Parts: sequence; structure tokens; C-alpha cells
Amino acid sequence: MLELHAKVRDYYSGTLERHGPTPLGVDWPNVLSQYLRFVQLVKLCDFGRSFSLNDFGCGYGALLEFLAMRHGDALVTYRGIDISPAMIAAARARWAGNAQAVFAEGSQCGALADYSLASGIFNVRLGHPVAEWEEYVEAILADLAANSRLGFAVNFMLPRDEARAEAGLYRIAPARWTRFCNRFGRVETVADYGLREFTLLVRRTTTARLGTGARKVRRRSSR
Amino acid sequence: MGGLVADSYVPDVLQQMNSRLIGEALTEMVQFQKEFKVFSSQHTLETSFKLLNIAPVGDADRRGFFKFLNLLKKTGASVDGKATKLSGHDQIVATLQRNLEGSKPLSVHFTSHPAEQPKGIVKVTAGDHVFNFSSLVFLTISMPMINADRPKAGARKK
Repeated sequence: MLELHAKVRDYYSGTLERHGPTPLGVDWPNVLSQYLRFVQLVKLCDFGRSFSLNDFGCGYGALLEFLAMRHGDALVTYRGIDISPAMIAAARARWAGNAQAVFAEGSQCGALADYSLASGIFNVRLGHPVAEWEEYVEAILADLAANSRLGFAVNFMLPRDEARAEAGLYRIAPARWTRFCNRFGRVETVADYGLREFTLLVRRTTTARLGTGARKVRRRSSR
Repeated sequence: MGGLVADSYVPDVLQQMNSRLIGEALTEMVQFQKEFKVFSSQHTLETSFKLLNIAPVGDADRRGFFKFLNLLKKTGASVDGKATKLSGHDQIVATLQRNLEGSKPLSVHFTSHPAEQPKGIVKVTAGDHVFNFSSLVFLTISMPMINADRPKAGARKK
């Protein structure tokens, strides 16, 4: 797992070095594609009240731009987490004036928040076997669940119609991860929003919060 | 693009525009339009294309491309051969907006024609079969361009 983390860190540090703190720098083709994903992910959040938010795999903090544009009146205490030190440095430089935003380098959330969101972090598996990548995904989902009071949201790329998948990308139908996330709470699948992908909104339920599902997964994934 | 963008990059930037408005990318664009009103009177083409990350790579060519888009504000426009009251720039915006917000959005083909024939007119035509290898029906947007080597107006008078 450590080797996998190192590869992910190096990959995203590389994209940032090549393209700077831009959508291309976090491997999205353009800002609208990035924002359209945020539109789906934040369907989880209740903007009628203030809340805290973990942005896992935050990159340079593009979600803050989106929140300012779409939900400028919302009171959000934001914590961005990224495995790439270069990304965190870029994010801190960009958002130095935002007192409601903090950034941390790491491969886990590291702090409890009302909601946790993660956009596009499962898409590039960097040549790792699918089984190994899915173990990595499970560990992250368990961490998101453990660090989210009200819920978390993530997205995955859908398979293409053509049988052959692109080397290095991870594409999957919703059932695999809907089933997995059921242990954490009530799962809603959002699809058909113009991108070949789906978003899972997982709302924590009292039973799931008190249950042992997340702890079991955490023990299993840490082996 | 009349010397504003290096000749070798013009086909590339047209291709960037075309590939954003066909197939799977067209489906994305419909959603971008629905969520963000990418093409509307509130945004210039420069803004819209910047949001879509459509531009030549180099700084000078990027500036040239955006200058070209803004120069289209000074040209006229026609739709299916009939002159409209909009500038070329505004006609492109209106055409893309209407297409993306319509019930059956068409793939879009951006191309160019010599500005002199007729001078400075953005020409929009619907229902074209652009490719002989495809049955896809396109909305064609042809932009007026001048030869980069053409002597400037002042120079021609001498």
C-alpha cells in the first residue's frame, strides 16, 4: 500500500509540475468538467446550515472556487487533504487569505467533519492490478466514512461500451461500490449527468454510525 | 486566423472546438450548458472557450486566438444564407446556445472561409453532412479568415 501511495503522490505532483494549479494540473480536461462533478458531490450537503467539510484529494483547492461561485453565502469550514506535498503547497499559496480553509498533507482525512467529498481520486490506478486498487479504494472509503458525521460522496468512472478499457484507468459499474458503501449508510447513486461516470452519495444513518462496519473495514484494509 | 494564430496551429484549434461538440463530448456540453450557461449573452466567446480550455498552446497564439474571437464582434452573420442582425460573435453564441438547449442538439463543425467572400460574415448552416464517411448531421459554423500574408489595407493602396 505504501508503494501505491507513493505512486499516486508522484503522479499528481507530476501533473501539477507540468500544468500548474489548473484543472489540467489535477488531471481534469477543463474547469467545467471539474465543476460538473462538484455539482453532483455537493448534492450531499445541506447548504441551509453551516457545516464542516473534508475535501479529500483536494489538489489546489478548486472546490473552494466552486463553493464561492455556486454557494457564496454558505458557511463552510473547509479542510483540504492531499497526498501530494506539491499540491498542498499550491493550495496553501492560493488560499492563504481564506481563514475558513486549512490544508493538510496525507493519505487519510485525519479529522472528523460533517461531510467528506472526494472527486476523481479513484480513476487513475497507475498500472496497479484491479484487486490491489480496489483494496486501496476500500481503505479510502472506510476512512471517509469514519471521518464523516453526516455523510460522504465520491465518484467513479463508468465502463465504456467497447470491451477494452484504457490501460491504467479504473472503470466500474455502480453495483460493486454501492454494495460496499451500504454498510456506512444510505447510498444514493447519481448518474446521467453528461459524464461517463457516477457519483455515490452516502448519508450516514444512526445505525451505521454506531455499527462496526467502518471499523471492520479499517482493520481489514490496514493489514 | 489572419496571422493572429500561427498557420500550423489553426487546424488544431478548430479541431479542439469540433471535438468538444461531437459524440460523448457533445453530451457533456449539453450538461455544461444546462448547469453553467456556458454560451449565453452573459459570456463572451473568449470566456467560454477559456472555460473549456480551448486555445492554442503558446501564449502569443492564445492571445491571437482570443483577439480573433473578439474581432468577430465587428463582422456580420448569416444563418442558412440569410443575413441576421447579430454580429458574427453574437451569432455564434446564440447558435451554440440554441443548439445545446434544444431537444436534439446537433454535432457542430467549425470551419473557415476566406473573409473576402463575402467579407467578414460568420456563416451558420444547419443540416450539413460534413463527412462523406459519416451519416452525422452537423450544424456548421464557418468563420471568416484572411490570408496571413495578404498585404494590409494601407499597404495595398500604395
